[in-house]
Amino acid sequence: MTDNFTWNRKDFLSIEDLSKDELETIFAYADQFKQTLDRTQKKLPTLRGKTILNLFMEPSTRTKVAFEIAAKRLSADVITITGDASSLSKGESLRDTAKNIAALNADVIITRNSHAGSAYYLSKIVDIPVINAGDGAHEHPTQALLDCFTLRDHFGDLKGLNVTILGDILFSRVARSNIWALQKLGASVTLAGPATLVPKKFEEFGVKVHHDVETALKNSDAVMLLRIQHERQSSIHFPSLGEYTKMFGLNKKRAALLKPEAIILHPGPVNRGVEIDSQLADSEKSVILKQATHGIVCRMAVLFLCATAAANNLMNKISANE
Amino acid sequence: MKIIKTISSKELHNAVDQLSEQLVKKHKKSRNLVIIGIANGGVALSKLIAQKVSSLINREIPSGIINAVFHRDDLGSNPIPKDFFRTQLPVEIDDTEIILIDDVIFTGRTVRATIDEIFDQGRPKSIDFVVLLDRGHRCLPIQPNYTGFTIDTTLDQVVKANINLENPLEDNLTIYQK
Repeated sequence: MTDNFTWNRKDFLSIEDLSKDELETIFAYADQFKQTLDRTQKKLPTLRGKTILNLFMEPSTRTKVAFEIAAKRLSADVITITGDASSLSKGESLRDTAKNIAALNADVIITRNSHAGSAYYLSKIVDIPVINAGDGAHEHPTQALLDCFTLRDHFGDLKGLNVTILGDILFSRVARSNIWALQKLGASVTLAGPATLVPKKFEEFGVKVHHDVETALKNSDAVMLLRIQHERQSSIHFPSLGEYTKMFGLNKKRAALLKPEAIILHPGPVNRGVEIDSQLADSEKSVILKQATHGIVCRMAVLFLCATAAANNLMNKISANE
Repeated sequence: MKIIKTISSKELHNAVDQLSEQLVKKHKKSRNLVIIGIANGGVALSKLIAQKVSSLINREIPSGIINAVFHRDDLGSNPIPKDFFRTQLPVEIDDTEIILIDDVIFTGRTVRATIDEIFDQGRPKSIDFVVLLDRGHRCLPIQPNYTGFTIDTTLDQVVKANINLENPLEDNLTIYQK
């Protein structure tokens, strides 16, 4: 008998929670959804009749738009609420906002919030699926999905790959989610950047830490660049952006240390001339735009799997009560 | 599982030959003919029929695979298999005459989903539907145009078509009791 991909989670909160099999399930569905991107008719009927609420309390371009497109491609209705346009700005608590959204018969909440753990908190107070689109410096799990999906698309398998994450690790939720995802999928992870932004303590996660960028990049199959997260820093962690670029920015000379077939990833927004040389960001090695496209199909997979699991749980509860 | 009935390789290939001849009779003058197997069960059968029809008609008929997984109405409770075939269509669908092939027809839901998927890809001129075995129990008003075998089954039976293009002598169609 053929094995099936299975998924039982109503919520998608973090990569840390997931097993390798669950990651592979998401990728299998994302693979299927990817096939539909080039069609004239891009919509699929799978979430027809569902209402998805994007609750974005922090600025976002790519993630917000990718979730909106993903939901619309699955035929769901989408409403996006941003921080300044929500009742949260009038003093309503996150709990009350979420309860009201659920009472308005929304079927899924996608949440981005500056507080770590906010998605987990919401998942405990509403019955509908909660999808984490970034919670403080904790996790950005769908970003790690699309990064790993892009690596998988390029290399076929992540097992044995050497991936260097370069930049502001300390304040990066993208780095945290990627550390979990890459290691679960069999890649070796090296973190690099200034000692103030890449503490040795990260070695507890099973990764290598280098403060010398050349050593970190040597023989890497891929480098993920992270921008400096000014919005999360309350103190100065390096003397100037110019000095950061000089010491840690990815330029042509440093990129030459990577393996010949290596690729460059960046979750965006890219600060050209700071963490990456502008020409390098547009070079053949760069897969930045592919990442944006893969963001749609990975989020379609997550929305589909969680909404379907929630509907099945509800059906099982109804049958148990009959 | 207990075997209830087996259709041998010889019987199965006789049926495939007859189906192919019927298709050629109708489609020998068709210029935009394409043969498409429904993933996963119809893929091997469609390749076999495409070979035979191409040989009888004396020109290569393009053949492909269609996976209608996201049009299925039971995907939540019946997840996608780990070894699924992806959609591979050899030509643009607009104005083609499609021969759609599956190994078994049961409720008709797979065919309904597949027709929706085809129309997402374009507007064919026509679709003919071919199955090796009609096991009954239709839930939708859908009937094949060409049928190899019609066998009444019960809902607790499972039908499996084994078609191996490399080793046709071992091909069979088997009905099991769950």
